[in-house]
Amino acid sequence: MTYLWRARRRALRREPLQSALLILSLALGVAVVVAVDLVNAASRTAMASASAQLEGFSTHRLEGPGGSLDLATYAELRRAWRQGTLLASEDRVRGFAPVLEGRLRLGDGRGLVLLGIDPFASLQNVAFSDAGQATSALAWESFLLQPGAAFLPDGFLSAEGLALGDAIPVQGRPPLTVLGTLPGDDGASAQPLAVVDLATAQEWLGVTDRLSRIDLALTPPATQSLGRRALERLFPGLLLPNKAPPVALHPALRARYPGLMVRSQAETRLALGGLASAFQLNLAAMGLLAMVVGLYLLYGALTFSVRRRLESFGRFRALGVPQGQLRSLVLREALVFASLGALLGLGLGRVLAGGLLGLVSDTLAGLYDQVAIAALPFDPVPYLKGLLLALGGAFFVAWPLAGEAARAPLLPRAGRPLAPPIRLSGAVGLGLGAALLLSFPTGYLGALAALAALLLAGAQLVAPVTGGLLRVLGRLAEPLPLGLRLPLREASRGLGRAQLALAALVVALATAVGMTIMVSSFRLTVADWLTERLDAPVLVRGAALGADRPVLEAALHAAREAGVVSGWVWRQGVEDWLEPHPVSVVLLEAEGRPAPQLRLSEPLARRLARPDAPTLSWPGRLDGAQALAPFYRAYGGGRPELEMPRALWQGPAPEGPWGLAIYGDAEVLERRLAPILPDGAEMLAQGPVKARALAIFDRTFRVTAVLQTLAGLVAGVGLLSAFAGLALDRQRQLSALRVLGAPRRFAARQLLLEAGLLASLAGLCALPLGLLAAWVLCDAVNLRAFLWTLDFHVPAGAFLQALALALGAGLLAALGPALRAALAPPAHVLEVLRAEG
Amino acid sequence: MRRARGGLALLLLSLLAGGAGAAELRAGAVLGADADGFLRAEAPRPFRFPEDHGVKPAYRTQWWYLTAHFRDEAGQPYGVQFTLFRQGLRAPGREAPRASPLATEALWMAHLALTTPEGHAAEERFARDALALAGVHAAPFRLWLDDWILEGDGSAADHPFPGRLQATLRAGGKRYRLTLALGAARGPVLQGEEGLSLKSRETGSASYYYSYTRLPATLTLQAEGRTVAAEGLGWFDREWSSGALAPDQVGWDWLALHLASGHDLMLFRLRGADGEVAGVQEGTLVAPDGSQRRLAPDAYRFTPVPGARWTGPHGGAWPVRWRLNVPALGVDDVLSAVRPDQHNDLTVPYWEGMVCFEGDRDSCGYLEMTGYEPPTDGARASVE
Repeated sequence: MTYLWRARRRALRREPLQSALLILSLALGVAVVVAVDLVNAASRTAMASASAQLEGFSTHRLEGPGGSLDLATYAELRRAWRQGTLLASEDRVRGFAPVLEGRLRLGDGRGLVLLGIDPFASLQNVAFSDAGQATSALAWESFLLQPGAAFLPDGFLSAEGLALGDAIPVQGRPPLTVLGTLPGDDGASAQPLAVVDLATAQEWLGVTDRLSRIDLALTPPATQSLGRRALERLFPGLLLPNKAPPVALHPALRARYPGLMVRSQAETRLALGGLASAFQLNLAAMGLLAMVVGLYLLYGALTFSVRRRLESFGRFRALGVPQGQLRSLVLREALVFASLGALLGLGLGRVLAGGLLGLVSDTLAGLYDQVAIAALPFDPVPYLKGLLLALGGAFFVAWPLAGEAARAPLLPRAGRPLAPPIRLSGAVGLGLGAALLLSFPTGYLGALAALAALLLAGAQLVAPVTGGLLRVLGRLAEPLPLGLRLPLREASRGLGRAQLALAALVVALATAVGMTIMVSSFRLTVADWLTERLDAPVLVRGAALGADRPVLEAALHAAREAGVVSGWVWRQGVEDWLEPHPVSVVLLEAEGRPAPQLRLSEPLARRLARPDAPTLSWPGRLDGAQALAPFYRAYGGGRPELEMPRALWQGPAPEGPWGLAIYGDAEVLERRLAPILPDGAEMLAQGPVKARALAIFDRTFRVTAVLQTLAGLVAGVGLLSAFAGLALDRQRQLSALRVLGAPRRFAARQLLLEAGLLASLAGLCALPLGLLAAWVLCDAVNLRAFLWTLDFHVPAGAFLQALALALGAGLLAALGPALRAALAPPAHVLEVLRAEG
Repeated sequence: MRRARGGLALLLLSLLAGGAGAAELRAGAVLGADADGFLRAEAPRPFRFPEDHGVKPAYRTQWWYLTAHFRDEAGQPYGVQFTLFRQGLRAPGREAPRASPLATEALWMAHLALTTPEGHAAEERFARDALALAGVHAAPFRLWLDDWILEGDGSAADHPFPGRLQATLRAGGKRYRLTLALGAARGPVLQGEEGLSLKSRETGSASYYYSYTRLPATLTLQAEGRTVAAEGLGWFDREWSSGALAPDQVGWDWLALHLASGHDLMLFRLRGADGEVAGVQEGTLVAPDGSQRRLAPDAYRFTPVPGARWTGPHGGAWPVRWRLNVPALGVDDVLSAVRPDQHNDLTVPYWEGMVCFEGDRDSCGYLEMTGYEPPTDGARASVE
């Protein structure tokens, strides 16, 4: 066997750059996959731990209207729970834990989440500890008896230099006392958590008559199929959070306490995590794309290398080398490349993940106060996955080539193509598959699969389309001088060698174009939506706003008479059920503004499967069937929303947070209203709110841009390798031309022109494919995953950018070989000619 | 939850059981006793009914304890145990005024256990002393934690019985609804020295303790669409204390027995680490006419039958057969558990279940045993 390897090593040594670039492109692919997985897993962990801190072991929460519960209701619900009459379905409640949650300000102005629990019923995952020991009974006794006794995160205490028994100053309240520590927080959270007894929480938050909610633990816990769990583990971020089936209260309780509802913690997280899911989905998809591009390049390189050696494989066979040995040689060669690439990629991935972490962490911190990723946790799965993808992928692409090598003809046949045959049927099949996936309700995963299929189909078409274009150009160029015709001809000939690299470039560029269009459409839509939602120059919000309504109303009327205000709209949010969906109802009252209408948000309309319904019937909430205005856009994620004029509401007296949108001169308004605003009410100017929302949006997608660039880089490296190979193939011809008197610059110019031509054509191919990808992303993936549609917006820059990128990549890749060709001393030129015989 | 519960177990252990290690629910006890301002049971006192059925907030620990054994028409045994504990965290008058109605100065804990021919199940509940989630009214008698309710029918002004226990027990994925109708009572019987029941000679720790020893009882049990009715006898104890066990006491054995002859017998003994009586053993015999007498330690023998042990889930070896010899009654028989696994695996695990004479299955009662298994983590920590 050694002679086979020796022969192979000789061949490799002749093309060291090719091999190095191939390994590099594979390594980059693996690195992106590993980095994205590491970062996604880390952000999942951070988000899960932030919500787990507040949710503990609970699976659901029981909330009253307006997100609170009075104590008498709590006592009654507790009895119902004990008797098994809390839920409409079978008796599944195994944990029932009252919670009062609120925010305090520390002495220095930072926020502090105060979580009041009942230690006898707690579902919190808090392992209270006391200086490393189990909490003493005395500490527990103090927890209940001593007002202000609190457990705080270990990390926070050490960061603040606080010890057990120390007082923590709190604005407007007596200080809290450190009674014990909570593990699991490294102090990096934007807002620390203090766990206190319910009584302390009531006293410190100034609400002694109510609770925030009751956390429930239902059995069986949200069952996840084994397949889903495995997918979650292997592709963190690819699957959207599970929507738990709705859990309904017992009819007697629902009749008695309208507005009381059970929502799953997953749903709460989903409400918070709409954007985060979109974001992680993006990352996961980009990671996979980079890997596919890497494997595609490996396939190209291997194909080329095997086809080139078919003759020598035939010779080996004639000498009696068994077929199995040849097959194994090719497979081992692929695996060696893949292993080297994967090993390099794993290390690179870790480094890359460290770099991405900051970006992702910023994004999450922008989306959620609570979440901060401190460090990458050690997780072997992404590394293993990267390794397996590289090795498995290499084996997969090398298998048919190994067969080809093993069956190499004993006698050389002329005219054997070096490039893999273009299978148009493959492209057609993939296209049909994509069409089917898009035509049937296959969910967002189906849409993503369709996207992948379309990209691959497009990749298959790159070579024939480019070839066709080159032929057309060649014919058009016939009257032109040889210096211009030659590159066209040579580009056609070089297509074979470069076609897979070009296809990879097309996939990367098309994805970039698609993503750019999608993100730009998304941004524009969200900006429009924000403009529509935040059309009033001044917004006021606060739970107590309703109680002070007469005072505010009087001030507003006075302001209107003074000509400062043109109108205003009162909003109140009510949590309710529109069977079988939990919904947020927004009750509207307008003064001096267009009358509000009954209308559903797009996600709700789609969820109800009635985007165009003319009326809505909602027994108990609406009087008969009421006319529905067309749905409105909503991108907040979470609990779907509907709006209605307050006068239409027939349900129980609504309880929920109030908002007030005021139209008029912002500056004057702020001066006039600020003094009469009730405690806890906040006045916001429209501009900053909108700017902040868009800034969060932009930050969310910044990482995507980085990954897009990386996927492009993988393709660029592939291209580099392909053009280097091309130059190698052309060495003899160019040397001959040099010997015949062509100037030094000629060879360089030829190579650059060829590369620029091929790459530009690839860039052209990427445009329609990118447009198609954008359409699938906007109209299928987003719609299916989040039930919202995006306005399609194609920034011209996206196309120009893609073309420039393609041309730049091509020229850059050919620059090295071109320089070498130009600078080669005449002696070397002769040497080449002699060696090539 | 487990870890939070572990902390809770620790709290309860140290509050209910003092430093003695294992589960000492019945003997009651404390940290540091009366430095906290709780009253101690030190001398006999006149009992006043119905007031004494109610809460004694001046004492740290108190409980109301009902056990009952039954046979259905086919002669199959059934047993029910229902206990409500109240643990004062701070003596009355020492609390600072608080604005929150959820602020608590005491904890409530209740245990409900059911033995059927198919198995044994136990559930535990907790409540803070707020929002009337749990409590005891002396008259009309009513005792509850959530929907576990034991109440008198009001026909006996000074006594809890006749009355009724209604409760739902959830265990092992099943829900049992049980109703105990309890008839007119014999008693109350004052235990120990006129109701002062000594628990440790060394520390002088004692409790006030009286019993209603023979309550005609009917059980109606509904589970999984099936209803079972059974007849039997119940026993109700009421006890309060602020005292502590002595350090050498690791557990106890307590027996309440209804003899077919109409006699009722209560025995308990506190054990040291060697398994022998540590300091105190006590016995009371109630004759069919209601007259009672204390039994001197040499008037009876109550010892485990060697080798007859049931291994509990935490590794303890529980003696589930006992030889009882009371010469004055002509009793010499072996009491054995109707099931060996009547172990309440709760925050504080212990064994409590129905026992009958092997030679006379109409003489049955309830046996409670503690301290036979290695201390739990919580208990170990409390010793440290």
